[in-house]
Amino acid sequence: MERRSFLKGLAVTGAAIGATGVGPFISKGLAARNLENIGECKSVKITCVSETSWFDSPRMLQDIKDAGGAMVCHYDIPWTQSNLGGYVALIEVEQLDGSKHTIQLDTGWDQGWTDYVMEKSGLDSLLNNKKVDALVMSHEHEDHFFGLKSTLKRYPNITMVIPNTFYPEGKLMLAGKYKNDKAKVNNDVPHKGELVEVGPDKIYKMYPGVAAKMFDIPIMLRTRGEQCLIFNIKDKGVATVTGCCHMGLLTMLNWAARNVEGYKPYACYGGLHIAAFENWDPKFDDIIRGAKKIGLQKMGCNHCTGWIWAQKAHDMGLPIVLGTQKYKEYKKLPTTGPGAKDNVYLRNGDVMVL
Amino acid sequence: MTEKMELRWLEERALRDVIPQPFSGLLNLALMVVLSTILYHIFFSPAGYLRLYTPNLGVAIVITILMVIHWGVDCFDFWPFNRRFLKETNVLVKGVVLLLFYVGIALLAMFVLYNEIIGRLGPIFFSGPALLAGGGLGQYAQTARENASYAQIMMNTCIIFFTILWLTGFGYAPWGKSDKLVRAFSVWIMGMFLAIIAFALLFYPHIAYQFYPPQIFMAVSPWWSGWAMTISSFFHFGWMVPALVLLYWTSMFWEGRPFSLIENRFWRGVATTVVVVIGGIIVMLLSNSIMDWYFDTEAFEGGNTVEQPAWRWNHVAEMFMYMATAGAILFYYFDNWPKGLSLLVRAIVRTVIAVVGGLIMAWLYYALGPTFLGNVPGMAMEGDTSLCWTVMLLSLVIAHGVFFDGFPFKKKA
Repeated sequence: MERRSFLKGLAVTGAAIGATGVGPFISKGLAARNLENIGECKSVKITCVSETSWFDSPRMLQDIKDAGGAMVCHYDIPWTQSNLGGYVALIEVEQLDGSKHTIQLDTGWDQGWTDYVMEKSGLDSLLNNKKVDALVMSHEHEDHFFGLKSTLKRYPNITMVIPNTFYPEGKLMLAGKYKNDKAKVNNDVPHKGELVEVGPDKIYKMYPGVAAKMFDIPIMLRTRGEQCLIFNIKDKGVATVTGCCHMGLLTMLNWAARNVEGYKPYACYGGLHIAAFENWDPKFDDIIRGAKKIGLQKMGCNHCTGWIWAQKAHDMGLPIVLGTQKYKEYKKLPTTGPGAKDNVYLRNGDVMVL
Repeated sequence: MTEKMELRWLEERALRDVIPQPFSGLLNLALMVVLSTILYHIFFSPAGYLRLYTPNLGVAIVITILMVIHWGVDCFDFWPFNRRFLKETNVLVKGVVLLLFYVGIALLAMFVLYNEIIGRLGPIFFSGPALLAGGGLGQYAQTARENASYAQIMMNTCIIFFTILWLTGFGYAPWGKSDKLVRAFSVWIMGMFLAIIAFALLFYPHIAYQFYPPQIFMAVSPWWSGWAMTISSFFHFGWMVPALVLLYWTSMFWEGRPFSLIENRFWRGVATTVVVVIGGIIVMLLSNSIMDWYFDTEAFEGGNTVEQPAWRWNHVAEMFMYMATAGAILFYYFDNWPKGLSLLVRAIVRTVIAVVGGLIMAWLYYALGPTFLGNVPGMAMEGDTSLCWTVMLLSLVIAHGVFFDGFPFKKKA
């Protein structure tokens, strides 16, 4: 007997309950939704400035274990500095009228590495010349946020879009008033531009066909809330760009399917937070099987997706976009990712055009 | 099959309230809330001192302690401690000695038996240090410990369930006429024997598929995925914990009914087994339907956070553990109120109190946890579970009521 059959049986009971007067509660889930029209854009180009947040997973996990495990605050962990990189993506959006918008997603971690990848990708000159329209912070995690100074020292007036769930330490970072000798994180360059704080109840429409959606979720290492970027590309469909995607790929797409007008699945890019440390869990197989039912046409993944998951997904027929060898030109390479038999990650320097 | 046995210590022991109810119960409850918050902060909280809630290590510790307390109290009737010690020793000394004894055995079970003997010489997945020493992809410091703790949690949950199931359903049959120690060891071994079989069928396939590549020659692909929408074994945890709570309530609230209506111990045991297992599955599926309504979305294969089936099944266990803890508070602190009414009314009132009390506890946990326990606001965080706190509190309430005789607001009659 399939579980859904059992639920259908329960529906009969539910109907009886409705007749007894508690119907309004049950009908809550069936209420009509107001679909969001986010408009359309023409194309999206994503450059992987850096997806290497740490170079050695065992070292990273040793730091977490020594500090007390996955529930400890990330501001309270003495990270091994030589292991740190950071996550940054550069997104260029072409509008239907030919105009363009440039978005930076996240600010990296180690400032030396972040400066290096910014220079290598050309992001530094875009920032210096104020050619970046917005800095979107996916979430407050160390590898996405602690390198904030590298961005602000180049462009302190940049418009920032952050989840409205940042902790006090994060707010002090934005104010340029934070120094932490334990986690070795600091920023003394205050953000002076517009600050947009996005909550979970309302989608933030940035430009035609571009929106930020925040999910108010608890995240390991005492972090709260993550937002993704949603692009509605004309004649193609909806693409998502994520930092870590702690809300889950399919949960994010399920939200989009239920809330974005004209939703048609097309593509995803970014960290998918599945097998981040080459660890496996049977739940991860569920995501592959679930993703096969979604109908995405392009999946560009890296960072905390876990190359094991990407390889398995590729082997099982999901449309994983393969990377190039460009990452080998960078001065430091991770110890684990190259273990995949196919180049299933979009790595540092790779570009995905949608 | 009949059993003629001497009174167990908890049946022989009589307590009275130092001050009238409900003040006695409320004061003991307040004391325990303060004490448990302090202990959680010292031992488990991510913002505390020892930070053992990693998360799985902390959950494994409290479940192992609960298992050993059940062994000592329900199976062995406090052996090797004799009645003279239990009757005549100062209540605080007795409580501390008993608590340290059972906690010590639990720590030996985890850190010596599982980590250094079973995991080193046999099934390695029970030992974090052995997984780490063995090396290999993904077996790093944090993940190796978490994976091993998961296996221990599931094994120990099976042991608790089958030990309590046997005692509730079969009593000490078929060893009822044997010596006390023979009976105790027989049930103890039977509980573990059934638990090993259950673990092999319900959890071992998960363990084999927890590694990369999957250990396909060690176990079948998890066979429950068509029902569960996940290949995670949380599906079985999700019915086993409610079934265990039904067993708790059978003894505590329903005074053995309805199973005690069956005279024959064998058939009583069979009926108990069938009813609690089916009951556990039904309440798990019903709970999931309630969550569909509450979260305004259904769980689905591959979904995350509140849409993740594995989290849903674990959350059923979490909710029932809140209710079990609320039930234990009613039983130990409020003298299993009400008394004197018909059994049916008593049973219903107590059950309703436990359910409502559990829901209130859950609400308090999520509302106040970020302030007092160091949690992140919200639900369904990766790896996070309230079980560390609830099982710790349940164990403390039992230990307070059983080892410390409910001191200071209760005393021996």
